[in-house]
Amino acid sequence: MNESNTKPTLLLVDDEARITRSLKMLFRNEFNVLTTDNGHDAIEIARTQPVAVVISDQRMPIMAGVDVLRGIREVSPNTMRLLLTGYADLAAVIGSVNEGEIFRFLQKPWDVEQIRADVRAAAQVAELSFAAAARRNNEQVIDEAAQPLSRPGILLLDQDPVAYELVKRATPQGNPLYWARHLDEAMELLSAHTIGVMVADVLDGQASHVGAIKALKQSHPQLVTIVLTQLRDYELLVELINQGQVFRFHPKPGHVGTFVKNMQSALDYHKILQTRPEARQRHAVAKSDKPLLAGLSDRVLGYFRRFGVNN
Amino acid sequence: MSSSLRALLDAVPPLPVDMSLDAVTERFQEGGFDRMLSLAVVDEDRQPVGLISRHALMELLLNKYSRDLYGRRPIQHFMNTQPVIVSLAESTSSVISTVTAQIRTPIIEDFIFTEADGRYAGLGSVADVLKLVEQRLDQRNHALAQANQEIKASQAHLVQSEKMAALGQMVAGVAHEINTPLGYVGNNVQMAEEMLGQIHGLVAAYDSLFENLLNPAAEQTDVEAQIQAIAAMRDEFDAVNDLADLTELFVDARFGLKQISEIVLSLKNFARVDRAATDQVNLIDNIETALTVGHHHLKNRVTVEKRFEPIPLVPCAPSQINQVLLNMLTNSAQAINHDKGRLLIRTYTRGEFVCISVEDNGSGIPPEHVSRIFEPFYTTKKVGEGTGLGLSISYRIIKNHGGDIRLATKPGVGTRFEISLPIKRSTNQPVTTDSSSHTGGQHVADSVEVLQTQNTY
Repeated sequence: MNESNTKPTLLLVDDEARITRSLKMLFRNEFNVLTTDNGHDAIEIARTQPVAVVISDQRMPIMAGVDVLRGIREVSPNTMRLLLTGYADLAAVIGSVNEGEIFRFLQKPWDVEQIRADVRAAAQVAELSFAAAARRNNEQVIDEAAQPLSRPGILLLDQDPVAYELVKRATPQGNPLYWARHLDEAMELLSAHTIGVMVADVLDGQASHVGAIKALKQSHPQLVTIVLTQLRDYELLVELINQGQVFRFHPKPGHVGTFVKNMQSALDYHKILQTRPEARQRHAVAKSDKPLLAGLSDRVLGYFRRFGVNN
Repeated sequence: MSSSLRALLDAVPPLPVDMSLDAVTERFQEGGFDRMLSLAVVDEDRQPVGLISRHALMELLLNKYSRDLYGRRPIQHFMNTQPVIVSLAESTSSVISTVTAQIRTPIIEDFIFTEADGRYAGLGSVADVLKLVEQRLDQRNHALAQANQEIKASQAHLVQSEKMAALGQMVAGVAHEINTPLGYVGNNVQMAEEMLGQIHGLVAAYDSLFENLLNPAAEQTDVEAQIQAIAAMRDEFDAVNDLADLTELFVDARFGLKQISEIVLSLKNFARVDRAATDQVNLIDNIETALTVGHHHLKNRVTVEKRFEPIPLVPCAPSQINQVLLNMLTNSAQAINHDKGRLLIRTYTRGEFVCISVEDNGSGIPPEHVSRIFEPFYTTKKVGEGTGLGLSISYRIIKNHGGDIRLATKPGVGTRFEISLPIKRSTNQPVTTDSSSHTGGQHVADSVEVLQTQNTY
């Protein structure tokens, strides 16, 4: 058997050949590494062969990284997608989440150990996803339809009544909507009800929900998070992608139609997470370098301890 | 009622309408109202009906026998029946305008204040009103001076924030330019370090095997174990091929480092902090520097064509000229909204001037904007994307150098900017950063005309 067939495939997309050459050398022992400087070629490769992980640059002449990753998501949804960029505008960060549904947002220059860990983690998840997909194809089991699932709840964590109106309009009939003004209310609701989607602002007056959003992804891997915020902070968004696995960013006030679509995608995704355990791994979060729960009240900390988060 | 009106009021008792001229004269002689030029006359309802001034009274008494003739006649026959009357219910400004509008020179009378119901309240002195006017003018002047100061300060602040915005954009672009080589250089160095560790282990294993082979007392089993260990390491690490790769890693790393130093050097050239403010400068060097610093705006999108005719050195402040050139390049890059961008940069001499022409095939400037593009704060960009100061600052810099910026443009075809700078510095136009020499739009419009007649479109 050819050795390259036993290794998972890593696809590198960058218009700077020295980047792809360098990364290829880093990963060639563990992966079958393919490289291209062109987004069209990258999508074609992902269509014609199983690609476990793709790392794409953002700024490229023919196709921007976000578009490459969106294209790959369409032709090969099980491929894990990572964006690697030297400098990205906010639009690219938001696009990479909302359209590319990326696993990690990496920045140049990167840390060798970090990128190794991220790519290995991505490859493990991809293996599970590809295997499960193959199983589903073979067994022809329509597992989703077999189990009628109860309608999961939607939780809004925000004091803003305008946000409540927006979420209310986007909540389908039959899905209960819970409104928490503060984090402790949200924790109470999460322990009392089955919540599928959480819509949260990252700021609550002076308090930040960033740590809690990250911690909740650890304690509730099936919870799909939409961040609804006015905040336009590049570093913060990157942190929320890598450590919070936020599903969508929706700018405030934003477009109602888009939000309705985002909510539907989030509910669909929650269903997948519930029925396919391996899919939960796709949301595995990176370790945070700072304590997640610093500054939270004892009451809130108590909830997190009950959920098994002790950071 | 305003307190400043109250301050004007003097509640002098009025004269009844039927008081005789004799009695009025006596009242004036008695005094007690020295500040007043006149006394009011009121009817039985205290409604003012007239005014009698010292001046009018004196004129009357200067006539011979007038006291004998008219002494007993009531004052209403001699008074001014149309005095200036204002109400205490009016605003101070309205009182001031009524009084000053009806001033007659010489000032011989006062004006009458009435209560809101029209009854007599007292007298006011015209001189006091004039003092009040002066006071108010002073206050207004002060407010205007302050407002002017504030406008100047906020304008300076805006110019500064435009500079900071441009700088921020440049830094972000440069960060991207540097982060890419930094990415692979760092990766390569770390891989080389790891490989060096493996090579070290391998060489150490070879070394001890070598020693054992030379040692006649060595155990055969030891040698075999060493050979096996080396074989395992060789499986893991293909030293000969990997060392060849290592060479490649270093070639790339050196290339990346060279690229980073070039970027840093052009940033240094761009700021020119180490050179005199004004210098004899080869503008072609400035163009190259601006192209390097602005590279990220043009990269992958715009083909740059350079047609540089040799040009003499010109006296200028290189960092200011760099700022102008970067502004021109950025504008052109932003005007190009398609991927077949072309930028033609030319240098040439015309008479006593050195010229730089920057020509793009971008969207062009609509005619209604052309005459205004050098105006401060004029922008067609969305709020937050530009302050509209970039071109006005460029214009000022070039004007202060005794040069000119002109343009030719055609919507949908492109825009050509031409910067001209005098080869010899004219004595009456010193290079300064003084902001007062902005001449406004008219001259620009003329220049556009001139260039448009000879433009190449």
